[in-house]
Amino acid sequence: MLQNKMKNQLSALKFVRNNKKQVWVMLIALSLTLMTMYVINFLLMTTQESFRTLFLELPKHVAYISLSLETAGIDQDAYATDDEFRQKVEETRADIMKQLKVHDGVEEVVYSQVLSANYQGIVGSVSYYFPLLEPEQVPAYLEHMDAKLVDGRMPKADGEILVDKKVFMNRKMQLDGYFMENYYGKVFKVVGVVESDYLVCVGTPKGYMNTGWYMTVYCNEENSDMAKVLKDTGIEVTEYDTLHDAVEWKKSYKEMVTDVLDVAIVALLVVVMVFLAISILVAYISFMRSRVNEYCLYSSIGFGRKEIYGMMMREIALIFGMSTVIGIVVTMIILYVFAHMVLDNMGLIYRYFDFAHLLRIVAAFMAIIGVLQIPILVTIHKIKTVDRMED
Amino acid sequence: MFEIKNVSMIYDMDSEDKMYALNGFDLELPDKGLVGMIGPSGSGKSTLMYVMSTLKTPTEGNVIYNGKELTMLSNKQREEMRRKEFGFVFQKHYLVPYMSALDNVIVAATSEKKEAVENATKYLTALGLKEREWGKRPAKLSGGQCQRVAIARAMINNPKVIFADEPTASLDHENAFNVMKILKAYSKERLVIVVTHDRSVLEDVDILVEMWDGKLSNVVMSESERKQDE
Repeated sequence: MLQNKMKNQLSALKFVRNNKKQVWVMLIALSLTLMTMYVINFLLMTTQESFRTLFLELPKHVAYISLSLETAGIDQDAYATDDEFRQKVEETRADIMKQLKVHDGVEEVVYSQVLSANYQGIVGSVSYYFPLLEPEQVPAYLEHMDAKLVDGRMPKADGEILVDKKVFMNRKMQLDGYFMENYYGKVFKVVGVVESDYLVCVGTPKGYMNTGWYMTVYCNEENSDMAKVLKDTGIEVTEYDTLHDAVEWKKSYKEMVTDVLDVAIVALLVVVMVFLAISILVAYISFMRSRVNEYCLYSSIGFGRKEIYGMMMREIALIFGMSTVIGIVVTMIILYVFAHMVLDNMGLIYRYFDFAHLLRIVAAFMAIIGVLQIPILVTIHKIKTVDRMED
Repeated sequence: MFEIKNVSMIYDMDSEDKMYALNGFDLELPDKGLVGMIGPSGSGKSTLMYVMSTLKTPTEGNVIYNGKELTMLSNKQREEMRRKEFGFVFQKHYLVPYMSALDNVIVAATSEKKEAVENATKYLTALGLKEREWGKRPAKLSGGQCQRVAIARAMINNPKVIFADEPTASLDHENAFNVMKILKAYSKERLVIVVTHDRSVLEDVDILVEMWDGKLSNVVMSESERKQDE
């Protein structure tokens, strides 16, 4: 009897098109939520991204080694005078450096003072070492680090520093101004700005103002694990040795940056999501209440609960889909303006598109749709036909 | 078309004082014609209409429609039947407030959109709604216009039966007359069942079913119907 093909979908577009005020409230709320979640993540990720260069990229190209006397095989008591002891230390160091220099992937090893530069993220800051070399050693270091002088001049005298452009902007430095005057006083002068992928700084020493003496190893990515490089040369490092290399920085990055920020991002996401879920739930229940007669009519004229549920879900999908698109577009515009006006001037490194976080937001939206199933299913099971409403 | 055999509908089944909305009701109705069901409030006329249209299931008895026992149908089959074979005009028009008059008619259509729009505009025009009113929402239409939209919605799938529950209750005399005229015209080819307690709107019916206290008290047939019956 009823075999003819029958249109069996209730249009979701009609509600969306004809209830602009209600739909816009939902769209704005959801888009703003997406924006809030994405922008907070963007700011935290900007910190992570900026620090990533220092923690993960820079140490792939330069490492600092300071070995204990035990590891170097020197017994201080075996020398009658300080001079003899010092001479032994220097000879041993020269010998180790010679062995390191012939290791695969090691371009150069110099014994130098190092200084700390400071780089400020949106949240927190990080200090990192850079070498203080003789002026004639600076060009080779810049070449190794693929850094180019873009402003000012090369260091010629003692206490002159070249600073990466981003660090220069980040710390609001000035050419011929003093380098980190708050820390080092009027000792080191910024004489040039370099452009590099690794926030490279380099300078010349001035007296003994430094943050340590190290064997500075110009390495490549494959040979940036100094414990392994030293082991290859027959030296086993112990807990008394200091290595500032890719392995140590990677470990620090996980402990100090990613673990902390990931927890913060997820915590913020959960908080925003809980508030959003409650507000959307309240708003949606009120929408549904105002449409009870409509659902009852559909049921009376022959639409099943499945079709009515389908229409509700399509409406929700449409609203959430539109919110996602609007949210992404608005967020990208805001981030573009913010990044150019603020982050560039702070010399920070950022990434607009974070697919993983976008997936997290979509998952959060899906979870909210999941929560909305409760009032929807309750409503679906309460739908009456007109006869029962009129009883 | 309809055979109603010994149908009873009891409310408050669990209570000691059972309330019979229908009590052993028997009736046969033809394939076409305008049928009026009249009786005072509580006489069971609306309940009978809802039982016949599958919206309610009788406590006892059988309702046979085109040889099919309605109480034996699954929910899905009932829904399909309501969508495809029946049209409804309710006492309140139950138009969707955010939809235009045209969309309110189309919403019930089983055909594809283009055909549905053609049919909807045809019925709205036939029911006297001007083109400029098709785009208006129910709140911008008069009570009579809303009821005519509801009738167009009931007719959109050219159903075999239209059930109209007090279709003229909220209308003035002129609009009530017009609505009955439309239903009368439709009943030339199909069956139209009108439930009302206003005898004046049932002047043109082919069969008048009078009810009292859940029972059939009288059936009056028009002369033409009587001749056909003979």
